Amino acid sequence: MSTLVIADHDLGVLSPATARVVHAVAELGPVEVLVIADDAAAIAQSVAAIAGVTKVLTASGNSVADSAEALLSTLAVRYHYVVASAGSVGKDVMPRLSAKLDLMPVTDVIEILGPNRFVRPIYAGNALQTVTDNQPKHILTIRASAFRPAAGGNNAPIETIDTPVISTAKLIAQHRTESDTPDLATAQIVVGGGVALGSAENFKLIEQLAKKLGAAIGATRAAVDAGYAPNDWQVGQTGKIIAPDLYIAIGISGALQHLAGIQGAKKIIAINSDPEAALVKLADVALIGDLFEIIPQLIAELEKASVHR
Amino acid sequence: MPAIVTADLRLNTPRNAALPMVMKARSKPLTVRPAAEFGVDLAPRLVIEKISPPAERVAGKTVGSTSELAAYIAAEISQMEAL
Ligand SMILES: Cc1cc2nc3c(=O)[nH]c(=O)nc-3n(C[C@H](O)[C@H](O)[C@H](O)COP(=O)(O)OP(=O)(O)OC[C@H]3O[C@@H](n4cnc5c(N)ncnc54)[C@H](O)[C@@H]3O)c2cc1C
Repeated sequence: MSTLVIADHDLGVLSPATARVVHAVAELGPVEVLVIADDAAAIAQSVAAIAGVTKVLTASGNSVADSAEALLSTLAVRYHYVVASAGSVGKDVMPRLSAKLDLMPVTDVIEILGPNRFVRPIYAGNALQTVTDNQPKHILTIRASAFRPAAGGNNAPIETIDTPVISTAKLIAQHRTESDTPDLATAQIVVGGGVALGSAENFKLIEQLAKKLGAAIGATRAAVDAGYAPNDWQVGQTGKIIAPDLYIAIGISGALQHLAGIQGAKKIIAINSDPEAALVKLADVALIGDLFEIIPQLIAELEKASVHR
Repeated sequence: MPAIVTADLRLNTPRNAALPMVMKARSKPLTVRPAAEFGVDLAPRLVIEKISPPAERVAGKTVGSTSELAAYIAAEISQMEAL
């Protein structure tokens, strides 16, 4: 009853999500991890170190959805579970694989209750659904932020798969947001800004506070739509799902679609001029006032208390 | 070759159908065909055991100053680092 996990990576570096997915499925049986990348060797080394991994498989090529699916549907015969994180790659590849294998996937799993019983959020996180999957094989996507990462220190064997990974799609270019802040989906602290910031220039206040705290930066859809923050910072139903230990929401009203993305946050701080804002009511700690006065003061206070990460 | 394209929601502004078009659309024929005709089995494969509400958050507090807030953040961070 072994499991195949598809590794998440970006720019030649293993994503933190993979260690969490490995931890999530550890109780289901031995875990093998597949790395599909143009240069898989370095990523494979990082995967081999994750506790609980019994073998790392590498395939050379670009993991565009159709190519990964072709490889996975041949590999799948050997496994009882085929698993990916519920990130953009997993959401792209797993439905294809499921259709090819005529299986129904269980997506966005936040808790594994047994070999075929899973919990997942539905209705944008307003309810949790427990499902039993009686199919002969299970295709899962895991919400990585709902699980702790597996430890390191392992040295699993690495095996190369010779099957070429061929795709009908060709990657032409990637346009990225340059940022040296941590990965939003798995960050311990996230500072989020809303449309109240008023401009892309003012949004730098959020970035300054985030830097101070070693935090990732989030934004509401209203802020992204207004062009104050890039698309990939959007948190919520149509953005990223986050589960930090601490979420600091600044000038954010707390619309349901935003809340859908932050339900996993352990502690929430709200800074808002409106004491009636939904996010203020839901927060563990709220400070009522003007963010343009509060943020610089807060940065100065944190400096004074020599808080930095 | 058929292609499936998905788009970011900010790609464009949707063109909403005007009322006369909506009325016209209503009079178009709508054919209902059984799924079995297409040779697909639509029976659900997953059994839903239960649906439950997510854990409720406990009510928080309001602080009166940025220094209090900074102290709270500092305490949260040292707790995080202790783990
Ligand atoms: C299908 C759909 C999907 C969506 N998906 C998402 C999603 O994924 N993520 C998301 O975030 N939204 C999403 N939305 C949008 C969502 O409904 C809200 O419109 C959005 O979250 C509001 O963003 P906001 O809090 O920045 O703005 P607002 O709701 O306008 O709130 C601004 C807040 O800032 C406060 N404020 C104003 N000035 C100051 C000041 N000087 N100092 C302090 N506070 C101040 C105000 O009191 C207010 O609470 C979606 C909507 C739809 C319909």
